[in-house]
Amino acid sequence: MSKLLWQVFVVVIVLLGWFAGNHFNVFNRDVIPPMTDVAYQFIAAWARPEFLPAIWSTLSDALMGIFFAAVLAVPLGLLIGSLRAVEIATRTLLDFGRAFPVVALLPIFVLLIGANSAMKIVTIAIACFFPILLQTIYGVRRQEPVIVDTVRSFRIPHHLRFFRVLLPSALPYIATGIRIAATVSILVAVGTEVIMPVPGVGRQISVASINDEVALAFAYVIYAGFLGVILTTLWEIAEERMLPWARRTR
Amino acid sequence: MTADSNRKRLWRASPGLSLIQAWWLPIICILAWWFLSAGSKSFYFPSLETILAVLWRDLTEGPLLSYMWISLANMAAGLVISIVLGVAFGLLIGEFGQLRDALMPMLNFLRSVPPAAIVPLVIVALGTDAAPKIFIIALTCFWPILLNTIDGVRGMTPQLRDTASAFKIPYSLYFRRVLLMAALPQIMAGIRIAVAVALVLMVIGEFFGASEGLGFYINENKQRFAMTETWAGTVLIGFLGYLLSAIFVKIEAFALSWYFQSENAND
Repeated sequence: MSKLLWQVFVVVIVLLGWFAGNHFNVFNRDVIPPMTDVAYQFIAAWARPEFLPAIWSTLSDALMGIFFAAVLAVPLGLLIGSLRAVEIATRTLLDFGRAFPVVALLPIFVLLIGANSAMKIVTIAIACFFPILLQTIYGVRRQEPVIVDTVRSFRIPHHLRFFRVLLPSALPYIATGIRIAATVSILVAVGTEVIMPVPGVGRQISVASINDEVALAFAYVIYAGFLGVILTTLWEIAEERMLPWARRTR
Repeated sequence: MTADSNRKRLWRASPGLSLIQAWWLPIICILAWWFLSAGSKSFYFPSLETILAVLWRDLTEGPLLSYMWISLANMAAGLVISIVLGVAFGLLIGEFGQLRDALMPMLNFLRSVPPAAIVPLVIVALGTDAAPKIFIIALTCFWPILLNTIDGVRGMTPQLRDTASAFKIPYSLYFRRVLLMAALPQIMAGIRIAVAVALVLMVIGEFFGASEGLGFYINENKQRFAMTETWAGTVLIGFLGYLLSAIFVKIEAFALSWYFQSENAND
């Protein structure tokens, strides 16, 4: 109970500091707007016609991106992970792909595809592809030697081995990959919207900042934070439902 | 299993062979790109040869090399600030349980804000020069380093803490030689994430508003519809990303060599 008290205390201190900072003009209003203004915009944003479509655009595009990434990365990861020579051959390419900042491709994508949702989804999918792929490969390679030997000595047919052994044992790792992808998807979605004129929360933050509506921009930033939390929480619930037998790997 | 480990040993025995095994596919991909795009007339997909030629021209004669240093310097400054602050606060918060319990919900909330979201706010408020970009990179990299440091301190074996307190080791020595060392593997994992994120935020910051830097080079050429230059900048960033992560793996292996040795000794 005292723990909760301390946590509330910290929140109160931060809010008081914010309030006092503006009240005594320590903060520049154009950089850090008063707390009350942000609180007002936080509620008032719902009345704006662009608010819900922006939230929905970011969320649905992030989900679509994760979906396409998973559909491509999981089978490919199972394949690469189960063939040692392929795994070694692709390692350098995967290191390159993982280290590549996908947002750097945005200018090319904008010229190729145009500034629209499809472009955003492609960018998110590429960014989410690598964490899911790497976790899948890792999951396949982490199989217990006993199980591998058992499968081999009983000469279990390939398709059974794939669906009954490989996939279930790699699933917890795939789930971790998708959890990482959920965070990445929101980061890339907002990043894309901030830089390029595509609809979404990031676009609203950009527009509000440029129009000097700093309090509104702050409110959108907080909503963007919620989006990440919502997506991660949703996935954790789904994970509990689908993989109750698998202990979380992290 | 023994056959497998024998094979593994054989592979390790010949460095030339393992180099070929690791690089044949990337080389084929690059060659395929080179030959498939050769003589390309497409506006969107210039040939790799022209991309590399433009890249070389702008690196040697154009502004690209100085842009690259500016971007890397911003990144390095942001990373250093975030490492110093993240590790210092991480050790403190991790060491004192009550402090950790009180702060965690607040930290988790602040961390959940996607860092790209604050880019417009910071750049519109603070301008397009280096300081706001360093600020954005430092702020973004702070979270993974802080949270990993906290985890590292928490994961320390209780015996270490007991021994330190039994011998009445002074606090400054305890923080530097015991806590820091015990948390170092986790701290390095945090920095590894931070390096990747720093590159992303560097690009976003320079796309949004800048007058110099790699992101500016790419974005400005995109505005002019100079496709080859845009590709050249993107290729350079990809190369830098790979190089940075490869260098970091080496640094990590060096900094943690004592740790990996003791891990192996335990086997």
